[in-house]
Amino acid sequence: MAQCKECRNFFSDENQPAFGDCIRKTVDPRQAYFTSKRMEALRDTNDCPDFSNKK
Amino acid sequence: MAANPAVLDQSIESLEKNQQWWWVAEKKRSRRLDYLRKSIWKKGAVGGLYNPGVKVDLEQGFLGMESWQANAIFPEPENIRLARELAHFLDNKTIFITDHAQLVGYVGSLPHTVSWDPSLGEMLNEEIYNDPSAIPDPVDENLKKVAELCDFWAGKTLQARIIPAFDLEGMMKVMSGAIGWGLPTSRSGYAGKDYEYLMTGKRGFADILVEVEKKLDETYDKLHNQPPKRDNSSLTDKLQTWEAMKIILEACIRHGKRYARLARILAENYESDSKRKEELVRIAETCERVPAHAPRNLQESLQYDLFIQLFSRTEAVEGAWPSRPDYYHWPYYKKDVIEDKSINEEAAMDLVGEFLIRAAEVGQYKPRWTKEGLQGIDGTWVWTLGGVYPDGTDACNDLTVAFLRAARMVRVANPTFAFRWHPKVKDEVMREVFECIRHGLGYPSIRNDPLLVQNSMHWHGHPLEEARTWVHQACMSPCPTTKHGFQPMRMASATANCAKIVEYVFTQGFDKVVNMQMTPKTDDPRTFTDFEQVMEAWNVHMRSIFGLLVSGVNRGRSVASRITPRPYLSAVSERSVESGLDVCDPSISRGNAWITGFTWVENVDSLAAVKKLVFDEKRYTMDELCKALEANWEGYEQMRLDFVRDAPKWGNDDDFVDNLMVRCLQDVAKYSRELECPSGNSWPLLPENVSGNIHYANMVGALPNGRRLGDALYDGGISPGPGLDKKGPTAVLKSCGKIDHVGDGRAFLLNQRLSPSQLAGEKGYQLWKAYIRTWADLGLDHVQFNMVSDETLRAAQRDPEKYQEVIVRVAGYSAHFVDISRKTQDNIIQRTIQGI
Ligand code: SF4
Repeated sequence: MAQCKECRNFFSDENQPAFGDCIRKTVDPRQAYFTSKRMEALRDTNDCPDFSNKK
Repeated sequence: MAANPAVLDQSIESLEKNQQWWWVAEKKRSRRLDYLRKSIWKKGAVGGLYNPGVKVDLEQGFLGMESWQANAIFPEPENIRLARELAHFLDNKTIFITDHAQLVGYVGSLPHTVSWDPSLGEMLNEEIYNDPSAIPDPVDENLKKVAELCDFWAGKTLQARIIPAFDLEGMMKVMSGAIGWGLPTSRSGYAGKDYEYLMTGKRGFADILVEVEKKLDETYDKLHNQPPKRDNSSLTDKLQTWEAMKIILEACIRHGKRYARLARILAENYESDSKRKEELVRIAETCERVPAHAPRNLQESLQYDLFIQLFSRTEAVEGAWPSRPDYYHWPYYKKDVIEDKSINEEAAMDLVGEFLIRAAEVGQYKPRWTKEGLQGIDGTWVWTLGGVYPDGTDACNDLTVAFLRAARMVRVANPTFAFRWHPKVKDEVMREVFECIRHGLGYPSIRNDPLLVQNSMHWHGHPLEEARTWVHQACMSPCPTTKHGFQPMRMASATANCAKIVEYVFTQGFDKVVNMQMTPKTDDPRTFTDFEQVMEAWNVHMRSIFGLLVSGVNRGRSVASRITPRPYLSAVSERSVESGLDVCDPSISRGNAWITGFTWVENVDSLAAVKKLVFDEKRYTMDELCKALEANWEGYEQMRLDFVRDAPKWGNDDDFVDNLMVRCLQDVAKYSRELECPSGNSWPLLPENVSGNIHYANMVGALPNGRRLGDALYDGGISPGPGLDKKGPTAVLKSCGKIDHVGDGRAFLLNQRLSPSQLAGEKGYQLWKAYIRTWADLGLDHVQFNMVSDETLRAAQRDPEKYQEVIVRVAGYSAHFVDISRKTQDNIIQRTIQGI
């Protein structure tokens, strides 16, 4: 089962290796922006449609 | 977003000639500003509902829930608990950076969201549950989440904790919505800031942390290593207050660093454009620097200010944004643009314009009465420009001009500006002020600085040098930005629906709309044989209404430190950092309270009509008048027209009615000295309206000025009734000049509509300048202008899409014309255009 740390959108936090940031781009009807959301590195990615394997 | 098709094929010159300033702006601003301006999701509600696509944010509720549950095992004092909750939110909320942006930070998690903190109150939570248009997609799933949050927070909210602290009868009257609005809590209202502590380049949050840690060490030592003393109990409280400050300050610094990290990741992994890469690196460097340390340049200074505001809006629902940006950011502008020339004027304009945009996009879910009362905007963010230094010298500078120019470029309706006029303001600055008004922004409003400094000293005893630092705490009221002078919370509940005073004279204090005896039962007005008896009854109801509102707010303020503390606001306030007391503690505040007087002038016009038609001319009896009012004037149309046409109206330089205005204000001013705030200071009246004239239309019964239940009320402050000022602008100014703008109240709002064609060109400027000279000579403290023609406003009603950036002055604030209700639009068109 894949975990967030394996995802292309995941950037691990050197100071807290158990965590990282999930960075995604959104384009809404008014603007384009990048979001960052705190994630656990070992989070199960099953429910995430945006998982994209790093490899 | 594509350019407006109405603009594409027209030259700037032809648009300027036609005074179509909103389209001129679209053509003139930089590509960045154009993108960012059009990227704003407008957060002001229209008709009580948010714009399509704007959704309530659920993150703060769920993260708050996690924090509460973690704290439940070892409950901590409220200030520490709240600090942990806010820290958890700041550490984990979704953050974003918009394309082309150079400044970052938002109250919600996504650009189209309005923030929601369900720990504030059940009433607000229920409202959200019942507002399907604000529930994020997919609606069914998210409605369940909203329900989960409502259930979780029920009984735990600030509202649940604070209501038992109030006198129930008084609270019921206030909450009825007839005479006032809102729950008096320190986490909802208008928070001033100690800018002299924060924004003078001496410190950042890490420096404050050092001060706090020193206090913690000293206090810990006293408590643990020295013989117990009788004040040990208060030392424990202080220890907890400082502990809460430490938690939140550290979290704020970490939050800044989250943006720095995001910007660096984007620069290194996502961005191919070298210029944008550089900008992202600059954002990263900026957020590594602030809020931890004092800013070094303009971008850092603006970012620091933005963070200060956003953190405060994470802790509380703030309806105002007290600020003086040209004053506090000036040293950095001067250094970057004038001395070092590290950025040019255009680059600075991009930053200043974006600063306005970042503020304009802020939105927090507001209760119905606020959404209706503040149509088209999220709050009344009146930023203060101009004025003087503490030594009295002119404080206007190039950044004052840059802000005024930026406002014309981005044309946001919130924030707006108010300009502290004084006799030493240079002509070039006055011209920039006038250009904003001529461009139809409806702002800046003009404030009489010397007079308001005097007023601050008169009512609240602020020392001269402190009084001169003043900013608008909300729409109108000055408040110093100093250690003891700034007010941490002005609770909106001290906002009186003043038309009820004269209404209750005729109903003996019984409110027929909410079916409640609101004020003491005065004598039957049918028995009055003398106008003095009317005034006596008027005074009873005035005192009772103001007393009720003030008692509620005083109580809210007195219990705030204990029940609704503000750890963040305390952490950025010198008096709290120094004393270890919560910022709301009245003992460390000088006090700067005021009663906002909505729907005030109706009293004066009504009393004048009664005096003239009933007691002086004896054309009607009190019995007949009472019957007509009871019938809402139905069946009494001729009599109603007599009361409208034959009674003198305020604003026409007519002593008959003007003297009544002065008398009523002086009666209130006397009572204001008897009313005390928890700091022991007075409660002066400040007549102004936001859009309360529409909100209260169905709340105020028939009045002797000929108004019927449901008719819009006057647009407020001391502005004459729309269309009733028939003798021209000088007569309006002369009427208003009969009021003592220092001793008769805290400030007095005056709306004026001027003709754009008359004020075109140099001649127009000179005319306006002469008008301002008369205004100042007559000793008025405020005036604001609408300068958009009826023709344009009607065109905007017909074709709102084309006129998205047309702005009008509503009352103490501006709004985009297309974002206010049809009733308010019509009310603005109805105002007399004064030829000067
Ligand atoms: S949440 Fe989804 S997109 Fe984000 S890192 Fe995990 S798998 Fe990737």
